[in-house]
Amino acid sequence: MMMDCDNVLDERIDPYELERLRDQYETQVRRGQPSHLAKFSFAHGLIKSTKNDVHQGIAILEQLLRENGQDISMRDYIYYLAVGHARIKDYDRALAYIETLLHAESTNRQAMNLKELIEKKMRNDGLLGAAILGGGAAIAVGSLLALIFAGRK
Amino acid sequence: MSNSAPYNYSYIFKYIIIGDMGVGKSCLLHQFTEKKFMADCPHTIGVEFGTRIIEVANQKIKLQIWDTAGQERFRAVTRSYYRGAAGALMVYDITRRSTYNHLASWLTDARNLTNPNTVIFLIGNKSDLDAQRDVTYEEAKAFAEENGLTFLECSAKTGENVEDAFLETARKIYQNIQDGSLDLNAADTGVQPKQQLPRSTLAPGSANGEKKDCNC
Repeated sequence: MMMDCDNVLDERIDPYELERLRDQYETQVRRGQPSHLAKFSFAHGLIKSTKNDVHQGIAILEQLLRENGQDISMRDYIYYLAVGHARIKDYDRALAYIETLLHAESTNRQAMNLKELIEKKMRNDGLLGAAILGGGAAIAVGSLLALIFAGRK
Repeated sequence: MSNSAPYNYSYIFKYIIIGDMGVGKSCLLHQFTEKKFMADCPHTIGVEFGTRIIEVANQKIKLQIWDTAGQERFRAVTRSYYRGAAGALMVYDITRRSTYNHLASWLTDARNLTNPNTVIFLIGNKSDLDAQRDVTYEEAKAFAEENGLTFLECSAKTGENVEDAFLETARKIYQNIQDGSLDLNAADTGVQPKQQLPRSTLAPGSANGEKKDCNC
């Protein structure tokens, strides 16, 4: 990881590390179905890479969220979906995900820090106060999560 | 995250905090950066950051601390943070022997994934819970000496020795710079002198293009 930045939205993964995670993932793909862990680790690396990689990371995490019934990992997927969307400046979706996490864990300081960071980015980009929450993206995230929770019953 | 007076320092030192889940890594970081005990702390997701500016030998140093998740499923993710750490705080819980028994594995990772100059500091956390102690001070002290680590028992709850652990690690890193054993021009030392700032690290086509957003 680069040293200069010290927050989860600005850090950049070392390309060598990303390749290591990609190799592990692709080796498992060649053998059959990759494990949730290999998918998650690779997606986490992608989220901290370039814009196109972030999109791929988001797609993998959304798939994991839909398919994975293991509640213990859900918070990880949701947290990194918030990070990923914030990094491609899809701030309303990012906020919708972090709100979901805070709804489940209202005292989670890590989630609160991320929310503050996203709001700071939005202010920097002149986006805060535009009343975008409650808009289409929040509803889209909400219904994705509703489907997941419904599917688990 | 404290970002007060962000430009007023001579060096950045990068630290990682490692160890089993539930040993109190995030609470130690919180006690160090906020001087408060955080009760009811959920498991860290991936990695969390903290910063604080300290003073060593009249030099202001910004500590950039990467607090890693202790849960096994994050091992692949957190391993990518070891490289380029100037200091590694390796934490166990004095009331849970299993967390002490796993130190050998954490130490192997720390040695293999950091550089030879990385200062590794052993912390026995939860010293306030002496009645429930499962690992003696003497035993851990002997382990630390065998492996060339500096060792302290701390309490993230009362704050006992927490400052000392972070500051002593910084003093050792600073000493390594002063005596030349840490070469600042080498890659991945985890130390960055201020005169090299700001350094452009933005890769072309990066997801996040604005330098102004970087809290450095």
